[in-house]
Amino acid sequence: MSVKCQMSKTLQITVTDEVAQQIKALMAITGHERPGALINLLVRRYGQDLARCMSGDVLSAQDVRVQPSPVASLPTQDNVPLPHENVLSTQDIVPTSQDISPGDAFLAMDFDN
Amino acid sequence: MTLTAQSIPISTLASAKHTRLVSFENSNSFLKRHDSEGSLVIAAGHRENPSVHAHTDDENPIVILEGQRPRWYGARVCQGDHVSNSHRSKIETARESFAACLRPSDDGRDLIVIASHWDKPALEALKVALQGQYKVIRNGVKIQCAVTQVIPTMEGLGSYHSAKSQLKDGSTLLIELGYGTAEIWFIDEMGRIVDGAPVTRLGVINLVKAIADDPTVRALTQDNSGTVNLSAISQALQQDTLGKISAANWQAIKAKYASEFLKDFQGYLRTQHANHLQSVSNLILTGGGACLLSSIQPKLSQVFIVPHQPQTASVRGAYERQMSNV
Repeated sequence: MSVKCQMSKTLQITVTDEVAQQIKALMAITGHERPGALINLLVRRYGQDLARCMSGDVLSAQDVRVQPSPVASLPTQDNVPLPHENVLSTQDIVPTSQDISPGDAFLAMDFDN
Repeated sequence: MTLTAQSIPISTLASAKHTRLVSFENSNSFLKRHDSEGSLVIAAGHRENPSVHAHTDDENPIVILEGQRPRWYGARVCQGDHVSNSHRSKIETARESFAACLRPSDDGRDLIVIASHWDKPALEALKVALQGQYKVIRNGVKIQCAVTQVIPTMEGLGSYHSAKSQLKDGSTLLIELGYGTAEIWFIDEMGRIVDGAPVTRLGVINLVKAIADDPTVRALTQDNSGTVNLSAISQALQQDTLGKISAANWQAIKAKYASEFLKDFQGYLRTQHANHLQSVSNLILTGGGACLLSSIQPKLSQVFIVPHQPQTASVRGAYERQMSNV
């Protein structure tokens, strides 16, 4: 099972159900209202630059939060472009935070809202 | 002749005083003490030779140490012109700062002092600086005592002990947000500091300076020389208003700059400690900055453990940790 995410007007990616659950769980903790902002943050953080994604790409858990980036200079929330539109529509996803470290949850917090 | 309890006059027995254990932290912004009577926090700035109208109390004492000029310490002094400790080393100011924190009930006692400091190589020098006899007049009361033993300890361990009952199994990232610096410590599951350092960029003073540079704040609070009193802003962060700024505007200003501060904080941890952050089981946020930021941004408590009364968690925890070893 997978979930389609409209990241911008021209980019639609798909995330696996596992990723969708992680995103949902993070949203419950960090207060992000749009899943795309979190996906952007997590994908870029781990070096899988979203700009290199193509419409139709499928992001698995491997792509978003397993290994830290080898890139020394990691982006801050300030320079992460926010998508115009984000859609994460999945039924029956139960938020759970048990697999997310408090450190990751803090890094993903959105202090603009 | 051998003295026994029976041979000592009753009047002498009644006045004999026990050695007292005291926990002390000489921060550049606040002097903190904890013992069996509770915690004492004194804003670290002082003014020499205060006027007769100076209003004193336990947190705003006038202290005369061994013939020196009288010094008035505390938050009231810091509202106006004052001498700050921030340009002097904590070793240099340790003795006078500790003298400012003495209690009348210390008179005649030997004190064992647990002294907290973030700088491990400086702990021995701190020990030497604090030991010895003290002859002090504090708020008109003569206090004569001796520090007979100093137990130096790393600053973060006290806060760790304060939060221990709330921790999950595993390692901990502890962030002690002070005024001038923040200390970031990685503590293993055995309670040992295994990595970390002080970070001046994350001290609360950076938030205070950013607020002082806000055009609205500058326009409404600067004096004739164009200076904004950072101590007044620092104190107002815990309050509902600042000078002529309305309560609503002050809340908005605080929220705006706290948000910027927290994003910088995130950016620092992301670039410097991403690996550690993934593996720790606990995040502790403590120190005066923890009290401040968690009140402005309540969502922090969703991921951080904030000890009860975080500003004094370090001195209280160091005291309780030592007592638990007795």
